[in-house]
Amino acid sequence: MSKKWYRLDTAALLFPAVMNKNWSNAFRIEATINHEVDPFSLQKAVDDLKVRFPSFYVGLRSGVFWSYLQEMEETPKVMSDFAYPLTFMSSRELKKSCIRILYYKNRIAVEFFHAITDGTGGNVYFCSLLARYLEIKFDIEIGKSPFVVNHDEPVSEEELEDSFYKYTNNYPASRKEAKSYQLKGTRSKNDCFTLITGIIETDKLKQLSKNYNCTITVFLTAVMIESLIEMQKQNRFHHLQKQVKITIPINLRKLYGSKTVRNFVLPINVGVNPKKGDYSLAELCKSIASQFDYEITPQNMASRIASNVNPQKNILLQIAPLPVKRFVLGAVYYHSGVLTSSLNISNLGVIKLPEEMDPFVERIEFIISPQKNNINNCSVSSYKNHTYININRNIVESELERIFFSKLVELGLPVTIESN
Amino acid sequence: MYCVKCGVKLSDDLNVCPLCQTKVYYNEEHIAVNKEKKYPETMPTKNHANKSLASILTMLSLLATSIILILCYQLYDEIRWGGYAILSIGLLYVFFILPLWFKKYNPIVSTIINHIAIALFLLYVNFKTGGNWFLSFALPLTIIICFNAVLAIILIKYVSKGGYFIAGGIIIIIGLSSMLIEFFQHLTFNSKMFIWSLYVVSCCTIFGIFLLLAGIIKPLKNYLNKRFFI
Repeated sequence: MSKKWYRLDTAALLFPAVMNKNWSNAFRIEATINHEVDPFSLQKAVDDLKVRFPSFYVGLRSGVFWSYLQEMEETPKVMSDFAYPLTFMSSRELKKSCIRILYYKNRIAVEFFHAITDGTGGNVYFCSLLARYLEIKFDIEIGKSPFVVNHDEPVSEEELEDSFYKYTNNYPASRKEAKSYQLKGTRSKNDCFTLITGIIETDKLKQLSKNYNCTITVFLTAVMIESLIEMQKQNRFHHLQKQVKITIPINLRKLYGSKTVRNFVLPINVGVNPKKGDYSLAELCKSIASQFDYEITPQNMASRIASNVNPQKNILLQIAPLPVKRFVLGAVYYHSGVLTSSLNISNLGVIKLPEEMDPFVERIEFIISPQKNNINNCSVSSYKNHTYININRNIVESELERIFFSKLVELGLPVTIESN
Repeated sequence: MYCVKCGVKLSDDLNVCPLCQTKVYYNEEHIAVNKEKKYPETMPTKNHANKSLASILTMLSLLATSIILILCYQLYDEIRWGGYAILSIGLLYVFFILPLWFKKYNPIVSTIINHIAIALFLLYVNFKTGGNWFLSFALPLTIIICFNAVLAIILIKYVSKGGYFIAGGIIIIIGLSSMLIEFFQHLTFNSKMFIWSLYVVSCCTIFGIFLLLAGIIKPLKNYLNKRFFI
């Protein structure tokens, strides 16, 4: 029987093209549970979810013109965790599987290659895996929620679709943007990532954001921009300063009502130009919030989708061999994606599990890897009134993290710090 | 425990604040209880042989060799320039494609194999051109270079300390080798003894001694470390 295969979705086309020796563009979701992980039950849970999430049990293959995802012969085997999160996924490994299921003591983690899904899709898989694991381990029944789906149900076409094609328009947005301030530092040995986790009570963070009339994402982005401006002031003369912009991936499912578990996320860049003058935190929050409001509309996002979808319809690009496409996509991404932003902040939002799971699950975290130029990347997730801010870096210096978390402490938020 | 500098609360397994590197002091009881680390020590294995690429490149090399052979025999009924071309392909194969077959290719073994390949290539050139310089010049030259390279690899790979002594020693040996090379040149081509090699020896010896001194004199070593670190 021939194996099932999937075309890469519009966002995913980029990731195999831009991956390099030190960066495989993966993200990780991990949960700490109240007992030591039983690998046999976990393996059984992984096997059980294959029918419900076929697009996750795939390997990345190369065709003559495009890369594609091919169904795996066997489900991936659960493995003991590694010394650092998000260690490099080689093409050889990705050929076999685009996900890693890891366990260590009382922690279960799944690392996803970005070509198969985005944070929201990955979170649905992860929470469903966790639920199935608890069902097998303790022989209990767990109710369903937006994050936990029934593993017995057949997968719908809607969940596997490339939603970008469905919600595009004929007015592509321009990619032109000025270059942003890029952080620099001494590269870590062995290309290992250093992770610093800041834990804050969600209630307090929410209240503080409310005081500034904005959401948690906007507030954290504003504090991060303030930190970056401070760093740039230390390192560059005023006339040489560049704009400080942060990339925020926007989940488009809510905007268009899509149910896909594949990639359906688009990044927007928000920020300010410090050359124009000094900004207070309240002014930054106001400016960032208005940029969010302006950018995140169905019409504007459809135009952004069009600028990604339209080139795919170009006959010249279609018939170009894969290596040529990878080169072109890599160059476009480098100039319009990497150089235009200082770092990424990805907020997975508040994770609500079915109440049967809550006694077993202590915390859930979301981690993204830094890139070659964006040497720091930040990911945020909230669970059980705790917000976990993970800042991952591939350099030795921790100056940005120090300024960022110190600012939060100065604003009256108690922060607990952890690190690997 | 709170960091006195940043004001953040630190998790129990941390001995220094990860933000500002300020040391945290715990009592012994606390250290014994909270030693558990968040991540294990295991690292993923990275090394693997790239056999598919190696087989494709081997096929291409064989294809190129057979085309050259067919062409030479069709045109001249003998190998002529084809010999040089085929041996050049062989040399490139040994240098770049052979290592792809192995998971870990020992650099000492690879250096020796590469020099044997170079020596065989030179032997063919000597034989084809009717020269008699191989045994008295080309072979000793290859052996001297191979010996220097292997010695440098052993010292760099297996001796972890004393970088300045190693660098100084290697540079002095390279200088002395140049005299040996000029001696074989004199034997083979009847050229004058020790003309160009004296320049090399004097430069290498001065620089080598300077590096040896840098290894001994600490302030000089610190200064060089500060100015030339990579």
